[in-house]
Amino acid sequence: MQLPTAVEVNVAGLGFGYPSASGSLQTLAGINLNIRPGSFVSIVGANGCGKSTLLKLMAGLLVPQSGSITLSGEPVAAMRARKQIAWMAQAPALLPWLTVVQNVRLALQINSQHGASVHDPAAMVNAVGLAEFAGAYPATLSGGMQQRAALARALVLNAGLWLLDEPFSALDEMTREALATDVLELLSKSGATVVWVTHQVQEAVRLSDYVYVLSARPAQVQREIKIGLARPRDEQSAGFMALVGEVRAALANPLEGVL
Amino acid sequence: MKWSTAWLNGGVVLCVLASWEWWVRSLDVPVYLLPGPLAIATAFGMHSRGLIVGALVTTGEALSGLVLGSLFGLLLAMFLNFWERLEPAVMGVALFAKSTPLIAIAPILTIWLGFGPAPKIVITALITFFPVLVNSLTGLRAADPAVHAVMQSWHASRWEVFVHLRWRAQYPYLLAALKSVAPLSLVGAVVAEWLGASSGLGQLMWLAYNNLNLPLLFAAAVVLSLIGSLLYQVVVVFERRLYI
Repeated sequence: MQLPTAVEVNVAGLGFGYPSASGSLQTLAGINLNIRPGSFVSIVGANGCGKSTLLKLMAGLLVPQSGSITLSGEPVAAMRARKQIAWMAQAPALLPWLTVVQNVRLALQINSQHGASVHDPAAMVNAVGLAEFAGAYPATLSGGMQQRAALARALVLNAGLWLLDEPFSALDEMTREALATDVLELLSKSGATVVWVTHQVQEAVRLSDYVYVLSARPAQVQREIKIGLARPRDEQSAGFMALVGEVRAALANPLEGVL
Repeated sequence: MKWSTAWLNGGVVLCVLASWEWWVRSLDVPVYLLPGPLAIATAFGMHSRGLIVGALVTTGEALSGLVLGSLFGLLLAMFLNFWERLEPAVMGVALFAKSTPLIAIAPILTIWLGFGPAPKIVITALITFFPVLVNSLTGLRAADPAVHAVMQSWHASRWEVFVHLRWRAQYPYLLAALKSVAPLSLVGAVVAEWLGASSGLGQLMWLAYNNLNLPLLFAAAVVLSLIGSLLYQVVVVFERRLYI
């Protein structure tokens, strides 16, 4: 079994805008990030501030208009070509004509690095609690189950950088808590770098080494909050609650530190 | 279908046919203007051999042209999926070929290719390839952008995206095109036969027309409609098998 090398993410002066009727809708305005290899990082921010765009840029699905992203010193395209990046979107985006396990297998088939696969597709489907539905087609699954299938499909990859865009958003509270813990365990074992976009402040603090709070659009990094608590984390502890409060405060005051 | 529903629908059809026959007889409509159902049925009996042979010839031509035209349309769509920049040129030529009136090219093709099945197959292919091309191309491009983004994140090649995503995404579009061109393929074959042929339902209809044998003309038309519906049903059955 070959573990992937954790990827270091360097984002410098990153700017991006979507085309609009009036020219360009500036989404990101000078994002600077330095994510250490092997760390678990959460990105939080108001709706529409550009979190998903930032993740797409890191995944190489969009091209920066200004500034740069380097992954362990390499351009994104090179890291993508070496199949070191796993990205998971908000929408499950499963192939409707493939069963759950076939969807997971397809990811491996296309993204395999010369057969160096860490996980077995069937085992990964079991891990997200879909053992009974491995042979089911996506249309017969609930939204939450589809998202779990998509999670399995992302986690089966042997990536050095995981980019997860609200992968738990369609899950109920219980499933989310159980899955999030399992996912963290899985990812920390793999030693990979994880960048996670979320609205769940509590979970962000529970899982992350760092939480980045983005300002409103056009987004900049407003706060970088180090979560130095020992694991497993006690959500009732004063330290934990103080950090949750700190993230929430930064979110509530989107212009703080920008001007 | 329930038996009662079948009886009801059969009854309606019988009533229409009976009123048609009654109307033709009571008004004494000449048979060279509008034959009644009984006259048409008699024509069936008298010319059954000619109708069967003609049907086989025409269906063979229509099917050959349909398969050839559909494959050509499908291949062009695949080509344009990979070489988008050539779309204006390819679609321009395709549209030109599609827009040329059949009546104008059928005699030329007959001069070039003779009175046999070849010109009929070419004309049928010319009619059928365009809807398949347009629908298939639309389907290939209608692939879910969210799934496409996921595959891009895996660094999937364009070929992999085509094989795993686009090819399947075009199925509903392709089948819709096949449903409309399957009956249409008969039109191509018959029109081509009408303009010069040694056999086929079109030729039979042309002969009947020139002899004012309207019952035979109607009988041939009924056979064509039946074959057209059958071809449509074949695509429907194929579609069901594809999705189950």
